[in-house]
Amino acid sequence: MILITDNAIDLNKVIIDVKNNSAGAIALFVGTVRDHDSHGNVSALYYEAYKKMAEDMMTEIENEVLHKWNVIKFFAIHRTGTLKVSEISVVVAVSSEHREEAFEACKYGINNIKARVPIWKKEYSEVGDNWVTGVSLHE
Amino acid sequence: MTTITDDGKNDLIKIKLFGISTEIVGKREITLLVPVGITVGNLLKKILKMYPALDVANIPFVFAVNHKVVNKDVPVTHFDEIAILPPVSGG
Repeated sequence: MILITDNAIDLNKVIIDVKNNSAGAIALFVGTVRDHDSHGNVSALYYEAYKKMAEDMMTEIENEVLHKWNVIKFFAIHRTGTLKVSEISVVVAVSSEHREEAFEACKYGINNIKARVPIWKKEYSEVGDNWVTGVSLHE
Repeated sequence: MTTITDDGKNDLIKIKLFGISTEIVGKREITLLVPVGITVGNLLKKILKMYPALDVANIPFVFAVNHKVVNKDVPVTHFDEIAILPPVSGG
């Protein structure tokens, strides 16, 4: 499952969504808004997505995960809109029989979301508003 | 949505903008009259000429056509969904 949403992410719900009787592990990556960067204090982040393409890319990453690892359930969520410090911006949750594949699949999921999904963030900091320099997409 | 093809030689196409480019141009979408069969590489040249501030910003853009990243030699028409994408920074 994948989701791009303007609404706050409820981690308990995410865990319930990936829980499964045949799973012995759930790995969870949670990205949160940090109160600083190299420029200084950050008060908020604004996330913008090219929604249809971002959903397609997240689904592609989900399919790769399901193909590469013996995963029971995969759920990736990315927030959009304005997020305050400490709010959750991204979650990748994976359930599997054993912990190793859950950890690996979760890491692959978040690394690929950051590198391949058309989402952009703007920082609101004490030195002004600044679109964060990111990674160029590839074919 | 208006899709005008002007005498078969020109094509009126729309390009979606995101992130920093939306802010520089001041629009979420731009419309350009271009020769039929223009490649995205030539389209980028036209856009940068039309919006010099975008050129000055020197952003390594890529194009997405129908939600897939394409190389600069790919031709587009008004039937395609075209977007110009700055480097991504999700997470």
